[in-house]
Amino acid sequence: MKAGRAGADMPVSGSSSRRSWRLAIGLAFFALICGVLLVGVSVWFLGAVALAGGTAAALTFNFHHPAALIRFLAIARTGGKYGERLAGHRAALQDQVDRRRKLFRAMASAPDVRRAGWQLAREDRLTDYIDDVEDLDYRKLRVDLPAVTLIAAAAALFLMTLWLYPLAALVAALSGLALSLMLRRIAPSIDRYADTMRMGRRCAASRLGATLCAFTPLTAEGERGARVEWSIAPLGVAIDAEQSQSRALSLIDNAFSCAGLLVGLSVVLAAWFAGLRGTDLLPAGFLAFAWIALSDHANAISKICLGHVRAGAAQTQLGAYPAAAGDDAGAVASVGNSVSELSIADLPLSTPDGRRLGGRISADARAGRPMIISGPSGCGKTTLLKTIAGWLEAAGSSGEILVDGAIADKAERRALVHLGLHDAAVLHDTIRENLFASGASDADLWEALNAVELADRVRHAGGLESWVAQINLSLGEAHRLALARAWLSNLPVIALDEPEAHLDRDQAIRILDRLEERFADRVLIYTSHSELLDKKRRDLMISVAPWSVIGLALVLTFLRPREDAL
Amino acid sequence: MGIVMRRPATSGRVEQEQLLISRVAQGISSQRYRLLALNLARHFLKITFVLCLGIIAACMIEQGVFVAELVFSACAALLLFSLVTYVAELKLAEVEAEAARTILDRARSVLVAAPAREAESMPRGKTIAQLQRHPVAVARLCVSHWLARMNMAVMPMFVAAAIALVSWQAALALILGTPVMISFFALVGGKIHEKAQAQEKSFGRLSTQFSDRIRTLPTILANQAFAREDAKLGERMQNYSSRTLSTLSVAFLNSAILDFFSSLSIAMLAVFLGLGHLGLAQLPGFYDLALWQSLAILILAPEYFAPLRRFAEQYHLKAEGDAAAEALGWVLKSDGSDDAASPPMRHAGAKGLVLQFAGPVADFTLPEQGLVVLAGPSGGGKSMLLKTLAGVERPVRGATGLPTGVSGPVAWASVDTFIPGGTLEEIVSRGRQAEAADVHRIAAALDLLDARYLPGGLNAQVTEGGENLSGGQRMRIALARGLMGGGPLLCDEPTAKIDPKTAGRIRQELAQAAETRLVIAATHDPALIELADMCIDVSAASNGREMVA
Repeated sequence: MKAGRAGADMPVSGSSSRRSWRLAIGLAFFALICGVLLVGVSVWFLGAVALAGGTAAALTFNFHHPAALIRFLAIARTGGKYGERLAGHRAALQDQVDRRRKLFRAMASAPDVRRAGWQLAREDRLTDYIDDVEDLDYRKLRVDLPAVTLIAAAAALFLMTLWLYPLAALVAALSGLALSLMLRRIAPSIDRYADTMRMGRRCAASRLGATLCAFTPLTAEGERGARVEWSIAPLGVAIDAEQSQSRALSLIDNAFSCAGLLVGLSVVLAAWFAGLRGTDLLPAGFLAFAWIALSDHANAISKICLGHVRAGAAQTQLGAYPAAAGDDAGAVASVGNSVSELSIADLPLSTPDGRRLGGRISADARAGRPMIISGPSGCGKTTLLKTIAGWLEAAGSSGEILVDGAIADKAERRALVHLGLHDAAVLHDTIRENLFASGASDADLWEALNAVELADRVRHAGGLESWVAQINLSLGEAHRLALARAWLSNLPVIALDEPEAHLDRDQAIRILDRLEERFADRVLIYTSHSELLDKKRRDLMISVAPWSVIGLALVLTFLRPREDAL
Repeated sequence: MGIVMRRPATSGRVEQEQLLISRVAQGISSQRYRLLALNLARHFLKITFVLCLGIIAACMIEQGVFVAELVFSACAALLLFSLVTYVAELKLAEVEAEAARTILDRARSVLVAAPAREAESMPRGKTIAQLQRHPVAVARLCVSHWLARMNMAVMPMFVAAAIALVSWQAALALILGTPVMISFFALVGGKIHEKAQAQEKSFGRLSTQFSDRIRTLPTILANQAFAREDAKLGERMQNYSSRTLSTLSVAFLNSAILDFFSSLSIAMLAVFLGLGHLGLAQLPGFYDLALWQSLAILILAPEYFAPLRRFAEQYHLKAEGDAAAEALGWVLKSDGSDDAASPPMRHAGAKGLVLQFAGPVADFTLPEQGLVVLAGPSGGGKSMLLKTLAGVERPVRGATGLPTGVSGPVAWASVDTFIPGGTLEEIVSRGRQAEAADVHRIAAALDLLDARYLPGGLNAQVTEGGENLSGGQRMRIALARGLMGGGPLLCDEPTAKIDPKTAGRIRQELAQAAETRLVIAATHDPALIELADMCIDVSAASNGREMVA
């Protein structure tokens, strides 16, 4: 499918979203004022006509203007509210696309992506992450927009009250003070509960992770019930915290709503005790019911508080993936370079988290002479492969990796190497897009799928344009899809992590044979458990540096060129 | 090998979703009605306050009198309103939390009792994400959303009755207006549904593109495909957001209709009542009213629509709750207690044993001590026999079990061993009464103290689930822990993927332990088979010849 270039050069639509936000705020304020006025003006109007009704003024009373105003306010309130929601969502969606795009770029250059065990590949972590992203996406819509509107409307009513009935304004001011003190007291607890909820969920997630994958040992040892209990308990804590949080939030709503009603009542009383009577009381009726209409919006305040707290927490969480400075994830590989030799000179071995394993390694791979890195689990094979591919810094400074005799730094290596991860993921997209070969012809794609014995499966599923998801493919199929990506890569160095994983022996050997032939003129490096390789391949292996330290036996071997074997 | 997602038929899922919701509702039924009563009282008190205020204002304006009693009732209503609201919200949070806990409890009992294989085959990340969020979502559907629905059913009639006390004609006008509103509602609702379905059909898969690309980010980078995916993602998100906006423009009509009717009712009533006051029109029910009466009608009218609006605003609770109830359908599975009622017949070893998936096994009797290996080709049933002996899996038929009368609980060592967070020492000695020196000896013997792998020796920190451990390390931890117990030790491939030197030590340790206790290992390691006191050949092809080494 075409992935239009338009997207790549899409200007950041900041200015248009700002315009949408201004429109949304304007409309929100307009709708709120119309709603408040509708109630106030209606009361005023009824009072006025009731006073006029008994007198001769009834016949001369200008009925049409206020009636028209009321009808206008009714329509305007409806329209304004609709417009506000639409404009607000338009602005939020515009921002969302931009923000997520920026976030995607930042994530791509975060060092975590290239380290072992990508946390966001786990569904629970990913769900947490997306929740955080959404909390930030909708911050303006859920927090800023209603907060600004409510504060503006309250301020307008307060000024009007202050001007007309200073005594009632005093009540309003005191209520406001009390409310802000209460908010100040309650807000941190809302924050704390949110934290407890997050921690509880996290804790349960890691405990459940440990328990769910160990059901067999736990059942055998009779420990399963206790461990399931232990894993789920933090979720109970999270539910308790959520209960406390909703209690605190409802307290806020309750207080604001009562304050609005109280101010409404005090307006009427203040007007009466100020000695106003008859028609002079009409503005008081208007204002009192305007305050009451405003207090109907009090339940937005807890939502604003919660949105604020969550957005703050989300910001902190997303900050946990800092972008690497000067790391351009989008660096396009310099295709067409040919590499005939890649050597490792005195490279120290290390664990995925960068600890030295002791010992150093020197070896080289040439076009047509694959390098097979083998050794027991945990000896640093994958780390070595990722270091060669420029994904990890070599632990210690002295080691070097040379490409065609010249020292190649991390960025240069990254541009030259195709890295096949042993846990490569399937994108939710078409098969064609999943092969990452935008320039390749259909025939090339089918050739690749044939080579990894996936063609029938793809044909059966509906061809290259059919959509796949991770769950539709078995581990073996997903792995073979990843090998097809390597097949189609035109980079000069191909590095594969455990290409035989999840495949049965015979199939693994057939596919490896094809891959080695395909990459005969390029540098091919792969890791493998030696015991899984076929006899022929094992026999062909020569240990160049049979090399062992206590508890570790990493054997770096070369596969002899095919010609020699024949 | 393949992950096959078995999804029951759609109708079945809908049934299950309804079943879960009704189960949860059953548990909190009486509390829900109490909650409803509190809520109705709350609305009633709010309306009372506003009515009092209206009447106070009306009396002041029209008759120039100040009715102190009304002010007191208004204050009392306000006080009571805030009190009842407080209690109602407290109760709401409590009932919701209780409902969520009920669901969690069910999930727990299913996880405790389901067959191990079935529980292990559940998609782990998905299950965790479900348990984190879904119980609360279902609880909200069962409580908050139910409350809004009941309010919608009761409140408008209640308000109409109150208006009828002042003017039955006005109440009738409101009631007659309702079908008009509902037909608008249905019209727009149908349109929204159509549009949403069309959207879901053609663009549903775009909605998760961002999270999908974040999930697959390492793969995208490894394939040098970032630039292309970035551009594609931008385009797709843009596309999706403009489609979403066009759906929203219809969806918002729903609440706009409610707003419109609620606003219009105020406007129309105000105009009619105004005409009545001026004597310009003599509509029955709108004529010859005192100001307090017309104010009361004006105040009550929007309350007629308010419950409808509150209900419409909670549509997302409905959508989330339904989706959650569907996903959590598995918690209703019978927790397997029927199975527990009939445990397989006991025999120390196997007698007429037929394994699930693997078939029959020749009879054998297990000794109380010694090294027993289960050998045979991959997929032949070694692991299944080991699990069946331990009682993790049930046999198809036959008698099986471990020798009774051995001291200490069963220990199981495999790569998928359970690893809680903590120091290496805590993990290895968990549930064992072992001297520190013993722990150290065994850990050293199994090469667990190599600081290059796990700096800090026995004090090394291990994360929950052992994410920072390799498969070999996990196996060695499991073995170290197993070797410290006194009961039978069952090991699944104890020497696979372990370097030859450590594998040798493991064989030695197992052989030594077998002198005092029963050690059973499923293995294909010839050197370990060599050491065995008894070897049981498990393969689908062989009918289970027993050979004694």
